[in-house]
Amino acid sequence: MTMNNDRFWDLLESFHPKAEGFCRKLAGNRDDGDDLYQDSLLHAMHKFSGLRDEKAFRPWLYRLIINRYRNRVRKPWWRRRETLGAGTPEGGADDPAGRYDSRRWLERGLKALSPEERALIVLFELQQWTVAELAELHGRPPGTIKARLSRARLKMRRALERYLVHQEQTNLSREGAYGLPESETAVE
Amino acid sequence: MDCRKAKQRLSKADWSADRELAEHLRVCPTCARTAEAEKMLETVLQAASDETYPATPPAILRSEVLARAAAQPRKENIVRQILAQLRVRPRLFAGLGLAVIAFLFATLVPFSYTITAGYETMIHGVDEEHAITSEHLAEALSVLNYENVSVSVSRSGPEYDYHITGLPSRDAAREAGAVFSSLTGFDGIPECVPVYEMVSGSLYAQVVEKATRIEIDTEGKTDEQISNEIRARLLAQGYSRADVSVTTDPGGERRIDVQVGREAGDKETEEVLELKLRNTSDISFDVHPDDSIEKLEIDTEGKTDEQIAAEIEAKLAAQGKPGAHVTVTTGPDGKKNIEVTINKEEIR
Ligand SMILES: [Zn+2]
Repeated sequence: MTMNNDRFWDLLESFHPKAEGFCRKLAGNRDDGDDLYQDSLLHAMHKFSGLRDEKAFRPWLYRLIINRYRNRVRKPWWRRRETLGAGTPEGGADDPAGRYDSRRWLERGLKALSPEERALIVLFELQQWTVAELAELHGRPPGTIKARLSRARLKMRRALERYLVHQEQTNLSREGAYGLPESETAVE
Repeated sequence: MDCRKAKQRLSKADWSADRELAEHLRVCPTCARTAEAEKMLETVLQAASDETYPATPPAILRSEVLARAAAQPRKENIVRQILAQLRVRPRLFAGLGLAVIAFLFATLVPFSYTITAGYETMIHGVDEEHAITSEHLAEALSVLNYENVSVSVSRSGPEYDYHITGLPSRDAAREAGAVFSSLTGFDGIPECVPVYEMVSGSLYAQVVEKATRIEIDTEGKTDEQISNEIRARLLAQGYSRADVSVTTDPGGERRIDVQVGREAGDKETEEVLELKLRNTSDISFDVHPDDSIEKLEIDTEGKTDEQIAAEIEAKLAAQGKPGAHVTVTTGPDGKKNIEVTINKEEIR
């Protein structure tokens, strides 16, 4: 067990920062991300002896993380934590206002996605995985991955559009002048 | 160009140089918004992918994961554990009001920290005229009901130094000094020193050690004012989060719920908290002897401190906690102090 453990940590070391960053981005904030990461590593350690091919270690671990993330999202207690943590996104309060705002918009887009889509977007857009790597991760042809990616992006863009409409409306009603923008129904 | 075509082009990688599209966006607010959303998405994704945070050093990560492995079977039982921890805490304080102990989830991360193991009182330079034997002093101190108090005397030249150890609190240390002064008439100032001890444990143990006490005067204040005051005091004490709710039931009894969090490094930890309220008409306080919270209510009107203490002891005994030791004292400001000691063995 100890020998095995050492090997596990040796294999992890080369991409540990990336994997940790992935969890933080997946969970939407640092605390939940670190919790997800540690929880996933603990389970991975228990399952490690069953892994035949060490070359498959990285995709194996990422799949495990994504699975655990998906399970968490469906659990009510995690939801509760998620809303609690929503006020303090990754990085905390000492962040420049601009970045916090940008993160809030990002989170609005990501919220429109399923856990699997979210993982895909985080890996591709934020961690620069290639389509080929993602295809290997999911055991799907590259074409399928590309289609999923563009669908996920479209969902995100639409979510942002909805927020933009909402923002315009609140601004207008606050100014109390011009009435609603003409294009409210044209979004979908 | 129509909207359909415009949307198609918007999905292409580089549309900012597309003049036909730009013309359409100028006249079509719907597509213009789509374009804005697209740009925004690109920007926020870019910003997020450029962000990096320092990774946890592998050695620390490994120890945290292993600690988690060790803690795992007990994790669901953590509330019970914290309650057990509170049970070991010998004292529950109550002013004339409510004492509330609130806690939240605390992560089981092992590390070392210092605790205040007790206090010592030192009295230096006592001349022959005011000196007494250590036995005499120990006997006098025994009325204070502190266990494990011991006294030593050493001689330095013509004078004596007294060293009282094993005192459980700063108040006890001051009291011990006062006992010496009243006994001997010595007018030197006793020195109270905390004794620190390095221990290894988990975060929640530390949380229990580092309890915070807050005193609020509730006289003539609304629930909202009280809760704002408590919150402000908690934030002033460095808590990053304080959820306080104060409610008054139809019987006029106040109920206070507090949940706090403090950021220690980059981890938010939870803390135990004692609240001490003044100037409410009834004494009531919560004890946490079991998983259920029980409340004691005692009408203090026209009763002496001894009577109140006896009544609390009787009620505790009725709740299945015989052997609780209760002392009630009235301070110069008319404020009552209640101290309840329940021995661990006597509960289970
Ligand atoms: Zn258009």
